Amino acid sequence: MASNGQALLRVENLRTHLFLKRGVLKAVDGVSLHVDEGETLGLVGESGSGKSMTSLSIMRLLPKHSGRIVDGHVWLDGTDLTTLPEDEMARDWRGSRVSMVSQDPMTSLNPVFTVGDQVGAPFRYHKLAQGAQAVRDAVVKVLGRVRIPSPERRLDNYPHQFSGGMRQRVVAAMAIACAPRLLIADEPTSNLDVTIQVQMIELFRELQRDSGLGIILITHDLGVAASICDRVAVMYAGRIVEVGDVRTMYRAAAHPYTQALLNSIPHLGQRRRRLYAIGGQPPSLIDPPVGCRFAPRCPRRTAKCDAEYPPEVELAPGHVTACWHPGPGGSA
Amino acid sequence: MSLLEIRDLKKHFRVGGGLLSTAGTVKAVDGVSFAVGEGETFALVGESGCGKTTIAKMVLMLERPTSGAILFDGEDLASMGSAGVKAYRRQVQTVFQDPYASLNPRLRVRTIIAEPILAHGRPERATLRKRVEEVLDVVGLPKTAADLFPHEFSGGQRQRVAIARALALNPRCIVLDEPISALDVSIRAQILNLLADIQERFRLTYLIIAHDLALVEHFSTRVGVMYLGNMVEAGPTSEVFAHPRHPYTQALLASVPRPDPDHRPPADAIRGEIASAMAPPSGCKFHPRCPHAMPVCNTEFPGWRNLGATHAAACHLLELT
Amino acid sequence: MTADATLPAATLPPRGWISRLRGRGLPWISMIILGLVAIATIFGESIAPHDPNGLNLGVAFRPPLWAAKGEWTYPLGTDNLGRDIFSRIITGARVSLVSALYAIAFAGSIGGLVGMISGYFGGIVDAIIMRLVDIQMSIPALALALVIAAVFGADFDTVVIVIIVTYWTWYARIVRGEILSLKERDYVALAKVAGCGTFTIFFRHLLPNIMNTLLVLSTLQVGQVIIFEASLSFLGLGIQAPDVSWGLMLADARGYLTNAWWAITMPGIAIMVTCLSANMIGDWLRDTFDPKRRQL
Repeated sequence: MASNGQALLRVENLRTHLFLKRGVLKAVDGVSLHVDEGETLGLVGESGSGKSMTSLSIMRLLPKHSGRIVDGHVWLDGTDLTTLPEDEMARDWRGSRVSMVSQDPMTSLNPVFTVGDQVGAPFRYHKLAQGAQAVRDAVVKVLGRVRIPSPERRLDNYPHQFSGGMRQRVVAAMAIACAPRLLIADEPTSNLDVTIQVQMIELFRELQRDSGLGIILITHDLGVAASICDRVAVMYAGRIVEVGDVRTMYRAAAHPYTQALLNSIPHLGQRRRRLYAIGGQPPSLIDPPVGCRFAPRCPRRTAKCDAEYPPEVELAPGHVTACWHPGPGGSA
Repeated sequence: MSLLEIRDLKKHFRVGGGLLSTAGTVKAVDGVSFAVGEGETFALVGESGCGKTTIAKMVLMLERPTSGAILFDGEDLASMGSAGVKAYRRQVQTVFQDPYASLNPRLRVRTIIAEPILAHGRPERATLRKRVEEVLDVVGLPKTAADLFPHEFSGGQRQRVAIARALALNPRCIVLDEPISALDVSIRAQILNLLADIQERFRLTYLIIAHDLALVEHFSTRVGVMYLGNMVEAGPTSEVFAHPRHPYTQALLASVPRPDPDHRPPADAIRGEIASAMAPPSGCKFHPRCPHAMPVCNTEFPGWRNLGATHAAACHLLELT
Repeated sequence: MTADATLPAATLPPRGWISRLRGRGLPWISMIILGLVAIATIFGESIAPHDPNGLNLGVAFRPPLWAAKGEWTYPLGTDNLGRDIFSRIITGARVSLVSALYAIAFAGSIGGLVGMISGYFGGIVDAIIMRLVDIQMSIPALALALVIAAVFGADFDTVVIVIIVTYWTWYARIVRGEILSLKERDYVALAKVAGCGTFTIFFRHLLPNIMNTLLVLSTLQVGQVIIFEASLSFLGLGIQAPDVSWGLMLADARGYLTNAWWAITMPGIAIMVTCLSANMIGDWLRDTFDPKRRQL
């Protein structure tokens, strides 16, 4: 067993490409990251930055035919998931040791089965409980863990009889049913109202405290990331541009993109006349720029930025950025 | 005088009544009043199901109110003839949330922007062309954009096209229904700044519907907080955000996750979930979730109480002081 | 201004339906078969090797050419009156295809318009129209054909009218369903806010969006309608001799099934192959136009 501090998940130089008619879309283009036991890593980025593709690569759930991991390794507890045969991945890993909560609780639940059936499915599939009564007991227990009131009674209800927040809890219960080592949460709160969002954030924290679960939280919401994460990695155009512990990232971000993101959103309680707007838009990932991918939109752009992709520099222990001109922001 | 005035507006929907269920009434908007002054930005804020979008639809005459009145420039929408409605449509335009759904994929941008103009007259081709290019320029798109189709644009650019279309008739008021929430984070600021610029330039009045409190604080001059079809607190944005008086406003503000690792939203800021709109709680609709609920909250609907010249809230707690 | 002026360099129109058709594998065999049927429809008797109604009892019951005693003169054999089956199939294509096209054009326009009105206006209009559709759908088509044939006499027009009356309901239902979701689109709401009238909304925002559906549905119905026409003629409610139709050929050959299997099989195969081709093209059109499959 890995002890605290030793990486639970280590992704090395992952490259995932989508082979489309238009060309090869380099959705993930050399991503390395690690998640320790009991830690939450936030993966922050805009749509198309590759954050969801990274998580699908870890789960090996890429779109059939078009998506493929072309390079890199995903080590989970010392096993390289990229080389496992599909049947072993399905039997021993996906849904049991590594599981996922997706954005939309309504499409994650099948409307024609009871909640008990669906939450019980992982127990039956991975043979963690034998017999109807044992499965039922296990389901009651796991629904209790996600704080669904009186789970014995709610077990036989259908998804539509649950409210949005409760449904998201059911989805979370399915994800943690088999006591996973790693949980990937893809925008788990973005369809929820703020007051429910807080309750979900609290739930994630509780789950982690109980079990030493490692969590990757994928979000575009910098507020949510700040509330849950221990460390934050910012993705842009298929690569991680900056990673560091949450305080460093929000207080002393060094990459101009991270700074721009923080400056471009309104902050509660700090009224500003104008927001800092990042001009332009992200590059095409079919034909990405040779140099730094943020260069065309960057205020610190120099000739070097266009010519060569910047190497990663460690500014402080654990605080790594890929930028030719890292430093405190002055533009906003 | 205020440009837009909403008086005791109600919208009730009948739902169900199928084979297995009895018909019920959803009181989506249940007696809301507010006024928007010329040049102001009034924000309606609240969680899903609070009725803010329904109000926007009634203001845009896409839904008919069950009762109550909407006054524009002092004139009641319900009593306008077809010429009056036509004139009203010239002056009130809108921008919707999803720029992918709000532009007809089969039409060129030129046709999309010209549509409102052509609905109100038959200008010469050259005039029309000039106007389309003018508004494209205002929203920061090149002239060549007019000949493209929506699918050739990114989300942010599409929203610019939608804004250009809303500006085409030189309206006085624009209803913004979650104008940035479907956009990427790095694009949101561009659009918000653009909206602020054109408001100043054309002296526009905005009615903005939003759920993002930080955005509302940044963008609006006055705010109305809604909960389950009622307005619970309204006032100048700076005052409401600095000194929220209604427990719901307070809970809402406390719940917002902030981009600050040292601020963790308190888990006990609010309990439970929003009640069903089909069977709302008696008395004050917020009382089952309210940390300060008193016996009277269960039975009596709280009245509107003025807390200053323009700040008001509906809560029994305020009667105590 | 912080606006970005970076637009795509090429001003491509969205891929029109013609280029979309070209972009995928075409169902070539089906298209060739339908093409042959179309040629037969246009030229009919003038390209038939024999007179389709030419009696010649001396050559009655000649088998097709690959059977024992078959000959090139009558490639698909002859029937009980010595008429060349190949020539009759060529001539009969006209009735089958023309009745199908007529009927589908009318049923599609009537049903489509009714469906649009029903879906767009909703409420009482919708309720009345949809009850009418329900009633129409519950009347057996053949019983209706009997009544119409009894009133107007059995001929080509009767066939077309029966098909229209039977098939418009399909269009009405499907178009109504499409309109129900289309009218909730944001751009329709925006058109209202802009001040556009119902006419503009119908023809600019709704009709273009249901054209694909209409086209696909129509293609899929060609097969059904040909079979329906054959059934009517087979029962004596449709085409009458001396006109030729595939259904009529089946009816004529029914009595000689045991000694001349080809007389009933050949028109049967013609019907089957034509319907199958129409259906395959319809399926392919549906897949091509389906936006979900258009992405990659």
